[in-house]
Amino acid sequence: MNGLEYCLGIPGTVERKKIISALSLAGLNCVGEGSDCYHFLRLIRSVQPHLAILELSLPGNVWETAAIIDQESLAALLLLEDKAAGSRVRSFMPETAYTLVALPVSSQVLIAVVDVLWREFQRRRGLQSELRILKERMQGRIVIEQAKGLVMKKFNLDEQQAYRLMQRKSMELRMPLEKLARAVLEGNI
Amino acid sequence: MGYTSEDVMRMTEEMQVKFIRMQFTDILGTLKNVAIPISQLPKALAGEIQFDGSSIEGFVRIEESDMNLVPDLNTFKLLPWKPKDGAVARFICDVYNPDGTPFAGCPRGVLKKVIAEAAELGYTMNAGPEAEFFLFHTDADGRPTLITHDRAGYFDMTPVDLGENARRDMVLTLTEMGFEIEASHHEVAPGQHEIDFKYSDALSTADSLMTFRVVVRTIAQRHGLHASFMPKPIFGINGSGMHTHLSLFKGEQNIFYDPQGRYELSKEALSFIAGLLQHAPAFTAITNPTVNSYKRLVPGYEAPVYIAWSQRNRSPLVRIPARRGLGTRVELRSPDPSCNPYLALAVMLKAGLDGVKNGLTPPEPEDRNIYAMTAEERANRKIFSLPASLQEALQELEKNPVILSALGEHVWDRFKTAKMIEWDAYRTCVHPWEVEQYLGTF
Repeated sequence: MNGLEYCLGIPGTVERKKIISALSLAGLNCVGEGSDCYHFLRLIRSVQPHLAILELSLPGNVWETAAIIDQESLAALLLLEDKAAGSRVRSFMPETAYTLVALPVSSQVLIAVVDVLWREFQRRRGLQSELRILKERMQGRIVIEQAKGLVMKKFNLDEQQAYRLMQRKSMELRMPLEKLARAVLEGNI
Repeated sequence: MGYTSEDVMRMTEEMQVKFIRMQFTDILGTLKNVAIPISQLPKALAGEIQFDGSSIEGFVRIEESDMNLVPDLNTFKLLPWKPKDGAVARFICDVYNPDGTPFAGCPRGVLKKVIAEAAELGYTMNAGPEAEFFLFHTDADGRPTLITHDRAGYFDMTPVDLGENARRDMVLTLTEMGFEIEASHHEVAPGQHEIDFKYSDALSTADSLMTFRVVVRTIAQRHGLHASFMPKPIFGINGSGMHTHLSLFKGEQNIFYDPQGRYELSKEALSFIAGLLQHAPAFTAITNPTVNSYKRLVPGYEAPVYIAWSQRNRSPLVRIPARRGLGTRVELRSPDPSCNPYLALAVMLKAGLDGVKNGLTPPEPEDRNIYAMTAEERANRKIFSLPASLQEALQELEKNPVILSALGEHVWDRFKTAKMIEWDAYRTCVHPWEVEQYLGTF
């Protein structure tokens, strides 16, 4: 966790100071503080920290801000609830799960939560990128299948012959098979 | 493209769409929508979704309130910023009367009528708009401020430019929705941006502009910013325009191009320009429909003021970009992005078409900087100005039967009423400028 950067959005000073000093002992750097949800969001977008730590009573729409950070995986998100500051969980956004810690919190617990959160976030990002690659590949397969069907019909070939023909053409033109398939479907080849 | 009802049913199933937004536009250019759950899709496809027209600005009286929404299947799109599970899609709809006739107050219908008029002569019009907008910071309550990122304090001086970042996300989202983005760049003023998408037929372009405004606003909001299409948000710096490139096609052929013609422009192109110039005073109320629009149309900020055309300089109303061949086009420089795109493209097409129908001849092009001419020189060259205020523009429009016929009685009546109220509210308001100017003096 050493060297991780975070942005903090928390009103009040007592808990704010405690959090910053606890996290700095664990080697985390505070790279920006948001005075309201919109400012916090701008900060997250422009500083691009590893972690976003947001307290529920920050002025503005906290849940919408949390949802945007979560949906776009902008940073690992930790929500704080400071009962003393009057914040409390009223409703959760559907279809999402957040890590929420009630204040005051001991530095050991805070650091342990942040540690798990960061590792979980990295795992999730890994899965997301894997999923994206798989989706792209699947899309590519569909396009190749469609083009193959077109070639079979046009040249009266069986499936294997059509695939071979496309493969050969792909090598001749030095064009990836998927790109060739798209060109076939668009009628450019 | 041509989607069928079956295609739409299949796509909604594949994409796991849970809700559909049936979108339409009111006379003032605001996007409205009726959201329906997916179970209502068959009813929607049959054009049986109704809404209360009397609650929409400029639509109908209370006693004739039921209106039907007929979706244009080709406008089916997934809204990319919603979570994928429980996806939301949209249709752009035409508004119909319950008896199955097109509703006279539907701006999309107005544009379709002028497009049909052009089609009778064998023409289709292509349009390519360049919409500019500002990205402002919001305050703690989420309300827009006039602070731009470029002028924000040192606290926000960070490795990533927030405005550029938001604009990149806008381009990605638009691309995901099928837009072909041609250019995206920072504009002259601080915090001002422009995203250009590829030209298309007039109806698709108007639909795209409506979508474009929603995408830009939504993505800005997701960045903690407010995107504004207000024509002149800040005094003293450039306003936001929507220069619109126009060309007429017959089939695949651009009929504005004639290699033997004067300036390599065809007779039709010159007549189209003449039509635009002749009707400009009248259509300005539609292309520049707010009180604020006229604070952009002043000398000194690259916005046009004078009714003239040129091949080279950018001071006149109509500029002819250097491209010839298939890319031959005229650029109308007055419209601003607060306009209703359907009505704006309808009046531009109508004006140009009127020029072509009547074989009008434009005056000589004006390649000198008109801003540098004296009033006398302009008078000698018969260079007139665009209307200087919304009120003047409405008066000009009222005198012009050609442009009024494109709008139809219903739209003009509601538009005029709404705009006169807007003008009166502005006219009777005491502005900070007046207080500053007179309070101490008198």
